[in-house]
Amino acid sequence: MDRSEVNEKVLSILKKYTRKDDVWETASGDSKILEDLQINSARLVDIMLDLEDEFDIEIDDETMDSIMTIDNAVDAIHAKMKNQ
Amino acid sequence: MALVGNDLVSLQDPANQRSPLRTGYIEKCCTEKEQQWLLEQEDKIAAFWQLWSGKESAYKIGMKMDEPYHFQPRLLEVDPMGHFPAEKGMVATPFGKVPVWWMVDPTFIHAIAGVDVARDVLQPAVFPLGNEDESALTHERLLNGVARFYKVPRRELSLHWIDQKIPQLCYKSLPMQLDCSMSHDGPWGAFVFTAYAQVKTLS
Repeated sequence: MDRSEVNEKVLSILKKYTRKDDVWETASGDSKILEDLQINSARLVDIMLDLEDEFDIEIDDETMDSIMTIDNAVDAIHAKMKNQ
Repeated sequence: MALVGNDLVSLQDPANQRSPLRTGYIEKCCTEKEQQWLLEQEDKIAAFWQLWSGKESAYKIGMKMDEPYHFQPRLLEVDPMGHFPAEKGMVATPFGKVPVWWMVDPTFIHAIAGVDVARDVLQPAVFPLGNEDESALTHERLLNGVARFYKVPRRELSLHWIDQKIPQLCYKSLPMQLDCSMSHDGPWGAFVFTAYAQVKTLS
């Protein structure tokens, strides 16, 4: 799976958890998941579980800690899939 | 300076009812000791949010420290002193143990963590938000609460933000030696600020 496919699937998961559609009007790869997309931290755990299911990977505490932005999530998943 | 952090969890939010039931959710958030405590509680969903809110409130204090860290739920271990609904507990954090106090209602849980502060000098409030902008209304309620407590005009108070996420109370645009924290979830908003009688006169 290439990076753009990963990106598309990550965005589709994130969109399930944003409460306001207008946050996507200005969103970019640098957008912070908690602050810019206004997703609360409890839902971030749901997102990690969704990503694990979608990509059949395990996201450990360290990886979870490194995921601040959309691009961080895409890069972390892409790297894990390449290493599988 | 005394530091405070708070977290509010709506128990009415359907997502908050669903998430802890997902396979792997509790394991991602809780240490083994916390998972053991959860097994002993009757209302496991509400008990989980008691642990979570304790972690979040202590984390908000961590963000104000010199060496802030990212939120990793399992890095913070909550020890509620008793069964759910415990009134107080302790959170083990990378910067030491932090006391936490809870207000548990059938519809929400409000956690308040404090460093170098006694519970009786904390001024908390929980309020319904309606359909207005949650953040703006929570800020306004905090500023009104501080104005009332210190008997100063609301117009002299403002909130500034450090690193876009840490609120700083200001009086006449100058930082006050008071800490505060805000949170909202679903239909509820909450704040807490340090309320010292000895500095009650600001002007």
